This record gives sequence, C-alpha cells and structure tokens, in this order.
Amino acid sequence: MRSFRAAVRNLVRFCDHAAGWFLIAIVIVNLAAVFMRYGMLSAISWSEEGIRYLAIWMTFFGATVASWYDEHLDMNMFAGSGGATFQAWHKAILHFFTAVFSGFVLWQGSVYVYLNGMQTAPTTGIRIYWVYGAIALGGLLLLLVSLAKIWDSIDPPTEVEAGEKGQLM
Amino acid sequence: MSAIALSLAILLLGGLPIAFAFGLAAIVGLYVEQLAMLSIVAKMFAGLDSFVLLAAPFYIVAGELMNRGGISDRLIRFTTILVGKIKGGTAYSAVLAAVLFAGISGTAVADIAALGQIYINSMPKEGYSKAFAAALVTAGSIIGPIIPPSVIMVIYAAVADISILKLFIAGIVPGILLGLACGAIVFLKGLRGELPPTSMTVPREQLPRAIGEGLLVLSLPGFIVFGTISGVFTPTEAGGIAVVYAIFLGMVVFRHLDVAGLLRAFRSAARLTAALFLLIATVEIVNYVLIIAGIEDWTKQLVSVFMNQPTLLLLACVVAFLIIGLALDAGPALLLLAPVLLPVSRQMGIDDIHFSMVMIVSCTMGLISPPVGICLFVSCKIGNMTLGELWKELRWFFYAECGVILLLVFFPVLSTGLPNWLRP
Repeated sequence: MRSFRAAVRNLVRFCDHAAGWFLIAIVIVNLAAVFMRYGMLSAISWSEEGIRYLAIWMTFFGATVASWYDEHLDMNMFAGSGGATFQAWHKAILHFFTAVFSGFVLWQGSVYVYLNGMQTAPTTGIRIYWVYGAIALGGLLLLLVSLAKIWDSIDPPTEVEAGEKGQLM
Repeated sequence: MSAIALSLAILLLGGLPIAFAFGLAAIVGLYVEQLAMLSIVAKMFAGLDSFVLLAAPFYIVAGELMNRGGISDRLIRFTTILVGKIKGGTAYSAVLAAVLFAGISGTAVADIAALGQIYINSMPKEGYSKAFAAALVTAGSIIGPIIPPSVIMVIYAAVADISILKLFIAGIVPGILLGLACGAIVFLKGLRGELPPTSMTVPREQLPRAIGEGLLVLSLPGFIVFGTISGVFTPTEAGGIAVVYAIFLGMVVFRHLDVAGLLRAFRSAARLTAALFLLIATVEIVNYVLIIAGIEDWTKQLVSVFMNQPTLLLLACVVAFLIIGLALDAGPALLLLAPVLLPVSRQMGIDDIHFSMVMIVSCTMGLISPPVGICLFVSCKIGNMTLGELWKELRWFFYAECGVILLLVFFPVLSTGLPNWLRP
C-alpha cells in the first residue's frame, strides 16, 4: 500500500506539471492565432479547436491535482466537528463517493472512446479518441487519487510520507 | 426531478465537493429517468467544448501573475496618491484599490488575497480596528467578479449563451456602485468621528515613479475593455494578451517575477481552472437530466405565479439567491440556476443583461455571507479573527451592498444603459 501511495504522489506531481504546461500551450496557440491573423493576415484554422481540446486535457489533469489537495469547492459543513475518528471516516466516505463518480467516468468514458473514437475532428484532423480519451483517463486518475485518499483517511501517512506530500505544494 | 434534488441536497450537505455531488446526482437522475449512462461523457464534453469558456483560465492566470509580480503594492501606492491625506484616507484607498484591482483580477478570492494581506495588517497600526479593516476588504472583494474582466461572467456567458462582452460592459456601473456603497459606510463612520488620519503616504520624490507604475498597471483593464469593445480582439484573445502583458510587467518592468514563479503561477491557475471546469462539466449533465425530467413545466408554473410582475420575480430571485448564497458558492449557484431561470425571465420580458446582472451580483454576495462565504474564511485567516468578530463590522457593508442590488432591480438602466449606449 505504501508503494501505491508513493506512485499516486508521483502521478499527482506529473499531473500538476502537465496541467501547467497545457495552460502554457493554450496561451501560446492563442497568441500565435492572434499574431497570424493581424500580423500575417493568415488565420490558423485549427487554433480554436486545438485550444478547446488542450483545455479538456488540462481540466482532467488539473482536477486530479485539485482532488489530491482537496481544492475542489465544497460546503464543508462538518469541518472541525466530531472527534478524530468521525473526521477520518467522514473523509473516507466522501472520497469513496468521489471514487464512485470517477469510476463511472472511467467506465463510460472508455465505452465512449470505443464507440466514437475513430471519428475525425473537423479542423485539426486528429482522431477523436485523443479528445474523449482525456475524459476516460481523467476518470482513472481521479479514481486512483480517491482510493489513495480513502486509505490516507483511515490510515494517515507517516511523517516521512506526509513530508514528501508536503513537498508537492 | 425530486430524486436529483434530494440526492444533490444530501451529498452537498454531507460535504462532498460540489462538482462530484453534481455528477453523482446526475447519475441518480439518469438512472431514475432511464436514460443512457453514456450521456455522462457526452454532456461533460459538451460542457467543456466551448471557446468562450477559455477566457476564464486566461484571466485567472493573468490575475495570478499580477499578484506574484508585485502589482498589488504598486496599485495601493497609486490609490494612496489619488486619495491624498484626508481623514480615513487609508480606508478610502482600500475601497478605491478594490475597484481598480477588480479591473485586473477577475475573482473575489484573488482580490482579498492580494489586498487583504496589506490592508488588514497595516490599517490597525493607524488606529482602525482589525475587524473593520478585514470587513472593508472583504466587502470590497466582491467587486472583483463584477467589474471586467470577470471569470464568473465568462462562465455565466458560456452557460447562458449571452454575449460576454455585453456582460463585461454591464458590470462596470454595478461594480462602481458597490464601491460607492462601501465608501458610504466609511463616510458614515467618519461622520461619527471614528476614522483616524492617514499615515500611508508616498514621498514626494517617488511620486512620478509611483504614478507611472500605477498607470502601467491600470492600462491592462483599459486595454481589455477598449480592445474588446472596439472589436479588435475577442474577450478570449484579449485574455491571452493580458497574460503576456502581465508577464512583461512582472518580469521586465517590475522585475518581481522569475521563471520559477511564472511556472508556479501557471500550475496554480491550471488547478483553479480545472476545478471550475469540472464543475461546469458536471452541471451540464445535471441540466440535461433536469430538462428531460420536465424542468420546463416547472418554469411555466413559475411564470404563471409571477405573471405580469417582473419586478416581483426579480425580488423573489434576489431573496432566493441570497438564501442559496448562505450555503452555496457563487459559481455553482449561477451554473445551476442560470439555465433554469433565464427562460422564465425571458418569458416575462425582462432584459437578459438586466436579469443576469441582478443574478450575478446577488449570487456573488454568497462569497461574503456566513457561514460558508469563501472570502470570509480568507479574511478571518489573514486577520486571525473569528467569523463573529468579522461579521459584526461586515454586516453594515453587506446591507449597503444589498441596497445596490435593490437599485439594480428597480433601475434596469444601471445594468443595460452602458451596453446599450456602447453597442458592442
């Protein structure tokens, strides 16, 4: 289980950097499109579609990291209430529900890729599984993080592990 | 429909992150309505596949870069110069900084994180109570999502299919009114002799530099607004250019930002955007299920209740938004309610921009209303105080800002006048 936690931590670190680079790529393509249109009077036909697809990849990598750091918006009515045991089980249950949703996204995302993946995107010309695949992969990443967090809630990480987790920030 | 509402209420009150609560409630709805589960992916994709939406990460990252690039310090020096050495000058400078910073950041949390650190810690040294300083900055923070650029308006425009540009322009007057409302509370405090003289000054020899830097910072919102109104750029393109301008200011002009800081800003903005976009994706599934489940019949009933009483409908909506804001953040509340209520307002002949502004400002109040307003938590954390201490001072600002909402309800021209005049 320790190695699973370590693997998820590394995965989250990778997703954090990947999401940042996707955002950088979005900015670059957007600027290139503006420059080409006004500077060279020649539009990049695939820029808008490309940016939208990059944003979908960024969303699922970023959402995985946000899930790891508990950065998703919530109503947090039970924060600080009850004892330590209640808090631990409450967190575990919440992560279990997150895992259920992520599992659904992984399952249905995979089916969707299987059924529609061979279609071609209108302007970029790429196979659409490169886009729908982000949703299925996002489901998998969120599921792995949720499982690690369930385990963290019931059996909190050691100081060394928590320190490593802290370094991710 | 009751199955979705019930499961959503249980999951949200249980503390599940809102995006996942929406997703699971939608799955319950799909099961009850016997719809294909594949809709989950199709609708999530449809929710995210929007070019308009892409302006949001640009404004988020521009705000992050501005924060890390030493913008807030320069803006505060600039407002200090503008306000001058009047009694309570620092309090008025905080209000002015909130209005001007709103033109840069686009989110309330960015505003309070940047301005709160400075004002909440410095104002007590002049003789203000810490709670008053925190209340002032907290109340001012909600101007952030109202004055353009605004992340919440980008999202609203994408979901409700309304011109983002018109919304941006429509936000200017309400944003200034919110600033005036905060200023009025400060003024009333001054009448009671409770405002200390200001000690925040800029030395004479630094004046030209401070003014120049302030104008450089403020050229960003000017560039976004005028560039988009004149039709040179789309709001999404202007967002991308704003990012480059923020990098230029932070790295080249102010030399406050290095490459590591730049990458951290992008990573942080990507996470924030992703959390927001996942929410949009799951709300899209909920809205789809609600439509199939017959939300249209419910809206027709609502229209018949308020027949020929558009003002009454607006007032009812404001009350509902303020109550919902007690529990739900502005973003999710707008995402869930906009597609449901906008058709009702259209049937009653209310202007889309008028209704949208009332809705956005009312929902934004949820950011500063207890018990779960996110700006309250940030403020309490910075000022190291309890929610009760903060609310004691904040309530007067809150009531004044509610007064602005009433003005928006009764005088549509405050929202629609500027967009109609400029005709973007």
